[in-house]
Amino acid sequence: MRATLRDVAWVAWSSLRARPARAVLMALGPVLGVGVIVGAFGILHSTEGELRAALERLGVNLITVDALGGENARLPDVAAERAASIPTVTGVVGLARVSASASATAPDGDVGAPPIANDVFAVSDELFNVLDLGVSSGRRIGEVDEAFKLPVAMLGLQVARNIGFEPGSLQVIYVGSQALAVVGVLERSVLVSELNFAVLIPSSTASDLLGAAPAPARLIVAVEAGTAGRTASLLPDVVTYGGPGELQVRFPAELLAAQVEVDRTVATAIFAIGFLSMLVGAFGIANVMMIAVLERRREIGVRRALGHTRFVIGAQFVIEAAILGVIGASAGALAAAAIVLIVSVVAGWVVVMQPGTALIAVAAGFAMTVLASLYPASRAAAMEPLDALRSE
Amino acid sequence: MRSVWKSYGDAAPVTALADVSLAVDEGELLAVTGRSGSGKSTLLGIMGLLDRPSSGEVLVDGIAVGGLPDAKRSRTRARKIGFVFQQFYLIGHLDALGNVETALLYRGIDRGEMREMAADALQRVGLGHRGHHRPGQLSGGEQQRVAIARALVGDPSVVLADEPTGNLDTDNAGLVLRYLEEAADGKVGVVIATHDPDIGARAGRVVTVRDGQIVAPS
Repeated sequence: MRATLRDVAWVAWSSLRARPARAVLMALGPVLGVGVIVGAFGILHSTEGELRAALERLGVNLITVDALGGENARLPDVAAERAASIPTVTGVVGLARVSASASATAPDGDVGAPPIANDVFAVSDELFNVLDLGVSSGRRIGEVDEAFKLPVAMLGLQVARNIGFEPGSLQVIYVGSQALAVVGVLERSVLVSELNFAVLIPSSTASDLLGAAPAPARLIVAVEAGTAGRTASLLPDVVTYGGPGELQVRFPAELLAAQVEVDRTVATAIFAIGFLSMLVGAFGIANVMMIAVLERRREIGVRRALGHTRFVIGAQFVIEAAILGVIGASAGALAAAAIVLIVSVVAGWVVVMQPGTALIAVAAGFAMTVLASLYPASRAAAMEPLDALRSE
Repeated sequence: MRSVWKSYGDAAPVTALADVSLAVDEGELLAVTGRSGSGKSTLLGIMGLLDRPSSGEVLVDGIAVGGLPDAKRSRTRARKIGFVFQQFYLIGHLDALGNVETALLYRGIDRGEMREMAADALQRVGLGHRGHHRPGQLSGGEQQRVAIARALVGDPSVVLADEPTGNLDTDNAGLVLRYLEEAADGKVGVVIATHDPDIGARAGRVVTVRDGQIVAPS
């Protein structure tokens, strides 16, 4: 049996080598089928890897708490202190929206100056620690500004760009009629994108402007690693203390879960596309192989006359397909992996390869090729030697 | 073969062989003559187990093989019967050695030994130096000699040659006939279906087939 298998493999291999163009044509089926699956999953996993890496950078241990109920909804004044009382919380910062728009020029009587920012937030310097946020130029607003109620402000990155702020230049902005000196520009915030379109002022300056310290509309809560879910479930009760007011608690891990859900849908779609391309590939292989069987009728007749059994004639075609299946599927997987690698490097993604997926795809490609060869192989095996020899 | 009948078609059957009995002995050169369509090729096909008789018996080395399943008939063909065809029927993508080796496949023979046996067989037909040439690089006479090497390499009991010189010039035909005669000198029985009167003259025995019947055994 082993000798038979060895001889069949040898015959199959020499037949393939004798017709390289046809072999390539047949191998295209598994190459494309497996390539589509491995490539699409590779790109999907790499974008997911990029998302995870981004969350890692942002801190998966951050929770945001928003007051619900429209533009003027506020959390309790003491929301930040209450949140900080949870043992797993390592830092809290409140974002209080100061209800005055900012402009680059002094308001002229009743005609307001054009606004330069979406929001003006009163913040403490805890913001920078909690969000692990630096400055893109200048300095942060800090304890000294807070203590002396200095008329200073920081610009979100987009605001600075919009007004053409030159780092180091003297820039004055106005919140209401109050002139504030710009001391720095915040670096881009990915997690709290509103900050990029906002002006930040010290809380004490805000209470001077408004006459009272504004209540925060949002809390950003940093927690110990691995406690985000647990802490998030505690926060609503702790923050409202059973009082009125609805709030929404979100944490990046949830976003990730939502993303994973989306990924699953996409993965199903990719699987369907991969399956279809494999099916098309299988028909292609069966087609090319059927033509090969008809073209090689005389060779089949000669082999049958020389005493080769129907079994080895059929097996020869199946093994030809198996060889092409292994080579084609592996080549498809390798080519797709190379494309994923190049795309990921060019796009600056984190390369995530899943050998398991690739192996399953290669096995499926191989199986598809072998299955597709069964019908042509059975036709070859069924040929009567004399009929095959007499064929032109 | 004993009392072999062969007919084709169900509705209006055409009889290709009618009650043919014929034996080939070891070392015998038997010529089967007759016009085209007389039934020579059918006779050879049935003797060579490429086709089944409608009735009657086919025996190889005294064993009835007519009713055996296809796989066993194939194995008998591989071990006991060699074929030489008018059109040579070499496999185009294999070289001469590869073509001869094809007759030795699936018999559990080691690859190295197979190569040696094929080289010996080519040597016997004077083509030891042409082993690595493909059929397209060989003349018609050389191709037929490769086919003879392929028929003889497995040490068969009988070689069936269907018009082996039909596509060859006189010199090459003579050469091919000589190698077949040499084979028949040993233990191999050689049956040649032919129109060629020269072959008839050189054969040990001649039978003539007409309308599917042997009319002139000698």
